[in-house]
Amino acid sequence: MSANENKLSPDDPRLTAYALGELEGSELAEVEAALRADPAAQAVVAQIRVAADQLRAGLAEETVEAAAGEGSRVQPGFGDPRANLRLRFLLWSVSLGSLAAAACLTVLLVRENLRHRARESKDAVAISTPYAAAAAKAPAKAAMEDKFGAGGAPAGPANASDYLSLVPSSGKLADGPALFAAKSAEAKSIGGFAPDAADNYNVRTAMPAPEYSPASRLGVATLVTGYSMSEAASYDRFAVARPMAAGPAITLATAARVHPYIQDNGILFSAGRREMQLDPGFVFQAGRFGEFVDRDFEILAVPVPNLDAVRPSNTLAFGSVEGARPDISVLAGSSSMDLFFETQAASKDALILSPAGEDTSFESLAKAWDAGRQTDFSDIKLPLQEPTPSP
Amino acid sequence: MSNDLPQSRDQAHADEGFLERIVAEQRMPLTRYAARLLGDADRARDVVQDTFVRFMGRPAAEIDGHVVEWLFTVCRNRALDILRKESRMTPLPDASAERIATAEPQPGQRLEAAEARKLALGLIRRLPPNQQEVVRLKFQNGFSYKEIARITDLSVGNVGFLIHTAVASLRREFAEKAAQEGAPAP
Repeated sequence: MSANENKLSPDDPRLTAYALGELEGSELAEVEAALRADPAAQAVVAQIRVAADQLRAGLAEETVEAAAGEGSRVQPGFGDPRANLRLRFLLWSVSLGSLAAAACLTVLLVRENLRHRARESKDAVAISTPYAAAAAKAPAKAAMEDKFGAGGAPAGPANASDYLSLVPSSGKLADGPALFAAKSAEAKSIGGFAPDAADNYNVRTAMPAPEYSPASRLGVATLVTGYSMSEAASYDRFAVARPMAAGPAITLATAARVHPYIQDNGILFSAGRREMQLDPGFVFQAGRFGEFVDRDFEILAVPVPNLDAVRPSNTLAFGSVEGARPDISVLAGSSSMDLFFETQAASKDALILSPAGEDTSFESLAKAWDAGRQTDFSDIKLPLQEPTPSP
Repeated sequence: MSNDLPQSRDQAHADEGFLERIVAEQRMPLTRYAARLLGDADRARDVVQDTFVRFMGRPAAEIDGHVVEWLFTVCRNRALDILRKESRMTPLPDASAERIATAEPQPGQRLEAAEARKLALGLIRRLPPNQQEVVRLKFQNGFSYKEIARITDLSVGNVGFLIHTAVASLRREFAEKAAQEGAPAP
């Protein structure tokens, strides 16, 4: 090879790759050899390194807000999304395949657990057979479509008990109820806001009151709420007008560590429907956070034999709440006080996860909320908050 | 429960500080990255939170050794999911990346550091969004071409080209700026 053939163009991408340490093997050797005989190319390499240093320095100073501030979004089609779609399809297929078996097992375990619980505790008013019965008759997809119409907004179930077999609350629950549940003449969706992006965004849009800090909103967003199906649809800005009910499984997963009912019975519950949305990775299933789809199920109880593996850190959004309020396993409330009070009005009988012996009446909870509101939940520190700058 | 289940991240790391370290180290870079993709700092934080939740759910063996790359990949996918759902995507004009691959760059000038950084940031913000992403992954997050290729589903060659043209543009801007100010070339 002649010297001219070896000469590198100043605009040769290999010079940039070399300057940035990206070359290896024969390509590296080739460029190095060419550079040795080419002072101009050496100068270009030096310039590239200076420019790279400036890029690093400039970008190092960039704040999150500045990064977002330009409003310049990457094109979603950038790269090949097919791999992601394939993964989703795979997860969907696997999940569907496991649903039937999981549901059958679930019904059996729940029923047995509930019977056991009822025998053990004189105060076991919380979860009784109606819940298991509802799980047993969770309607098939065809039945759901009959009820709602294919793809349409919910017309409302003919029978509320088809939706949720909910249990009355005495207000004081000596042994701590395991489930948040509500009883209403109207069909209710028991749901929480799972800590994914869409749901947190829903929370912010549903709860715009400025007196709540983002931290409070996010913290409260982890709490289970109940609201009507038709109402829920209006909060689902990403979806068509369908009921949205994010499963409270995450909430319960967090609670599981400390909550005696879940601990004793080894089950977690997912309730609600999230149609047309695949959300792998949130439900603790078969011993791990796995791929699970809770569509087409209104109530699903998932047996989790190794609850010891469930820790607050499994659900980042909750950990610090627990840490800040060790006396409270899961704060009772909703993602929005509006929803909370609507729930209160529509649903007088509710069970809320709470410490044993706590008064879980809405009146009491609302009072507690009001007290907390004065301080804007400043004691809640979420893990993902921006750190306070050091003095 | 059988013992052959995949270990969750939580189980696999007896080191209780593992998650905290990862969060502490990667939260800000991820948030900045997502913010750029989404154009919304709050939603970027949501995406990052979601990314960490998913991280906790993955079997350790799947991501050990490339945790940071995995986090950025998941973060990116989640951000793009949101953009798709919102139908707010703006198609990248054809050959938009090529537009910046222009004339032969002139030798750079020794600019004041602050001014040079400002110039660099200004240049980055004028790049097509997708090229910005690659540049940020390289110079803000320190990923290699190969890692960026895996995160973005681009080829290594494409990544190299996008970075090369961005750097070339910056060199040219340095040169032009110096020429305007009559500064001598180094």
